[in-house]
Amino acid sequence: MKKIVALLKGMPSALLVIGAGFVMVAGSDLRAALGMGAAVLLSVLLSSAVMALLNKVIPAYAKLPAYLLVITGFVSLISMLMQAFFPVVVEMLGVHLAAMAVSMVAFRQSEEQVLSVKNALVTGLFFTVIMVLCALIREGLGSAAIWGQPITFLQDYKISTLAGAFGGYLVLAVVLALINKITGLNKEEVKEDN
Amino acid sequence: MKIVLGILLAGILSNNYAFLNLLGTGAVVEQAYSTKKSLLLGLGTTLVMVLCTLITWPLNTYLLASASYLQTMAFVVVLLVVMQVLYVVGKKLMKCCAADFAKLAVSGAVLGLCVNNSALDFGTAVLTAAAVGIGFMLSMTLYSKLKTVCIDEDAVPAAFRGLPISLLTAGMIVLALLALQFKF
Repeated sequence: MKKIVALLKGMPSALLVIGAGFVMVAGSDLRAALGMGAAVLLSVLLSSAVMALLNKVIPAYAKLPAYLLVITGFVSLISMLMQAFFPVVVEMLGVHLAAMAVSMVAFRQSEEQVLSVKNALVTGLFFTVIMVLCALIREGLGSAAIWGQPITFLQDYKISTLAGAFGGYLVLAVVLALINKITGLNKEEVKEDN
Repeated sequence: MKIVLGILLAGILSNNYAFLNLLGTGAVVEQAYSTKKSLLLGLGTTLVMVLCTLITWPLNTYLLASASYLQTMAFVVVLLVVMQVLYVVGKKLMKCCAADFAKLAVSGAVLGLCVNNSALDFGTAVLTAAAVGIGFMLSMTLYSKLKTVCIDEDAVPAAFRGLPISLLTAGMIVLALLALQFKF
């Protein structure tokens, strides 16, 4: 648990920077959650790997434009691949797939340390796990379905609010609070504030 | 006139980018600013949105028609250039909130707006950009006011402090906006 907490330290703030909006959009359907998670993981990982290789070659003033070009290139590539192989997922995510590019830039800008592939992998995986958790709750209880397939016995008991915009905020807040409670991450942040 | 009013109201309320379309949400809920700062940042973001639309719409229509795969890259470059130019021009005003302005301007809202507007005609796109910008400004101001006035962090359970309570606060505003769509 201590290792997980050490790895996750700072994740909630990283998640916010990277775009809580994406989690809420993708969290309405399990397919969208996995698709978006894979897209984020791949784009962050690949761009971090490329930038780690080019870090010493690129001068300091050119790092942001270089990272920008690298990340938008990868995001465009991943969008086109998803459009070809998973058009249903792209339709669900809409413009958020493209908007992910700037969030990635914002995320890297918030990192004050040297670009780290391991950090990118952990962030991407954490992001994916959160989205899948939210999707399971929202699609299961909100739409009474999983993976687009209806769950018959839940049809009469679905809470359609969870499937909507407000549900995204509510479910994500609860999931993050649960993570804070289980891992005790928040206690350290609260202690630092006090 | 009715169409103009409809577009304005849609961009500000029923199609609010920050809270309903979930574009740029993180930048809005990350921090609760003072009213003056919220209005200043919102104004700056509106300006970025309108300027970006003015540049990206013709760029997309005339130059990128046969190279749509370059759309994201081109739009992001335009966005960064516009943001930098505005920062240099408005340095005196932006001194107090330069970093926050950069975060907001480089949020998913501006890029998402440019991408969505590329499907509209020019006049509608520019008007939508202005409306969405005003809606963004309204969202930030409302959220900041609600967070600072109504939420006492000490009374919030430890697990909910920070991001969870910020999201729940934003959710309250979403409920109010959803009432305009009669959707829950």
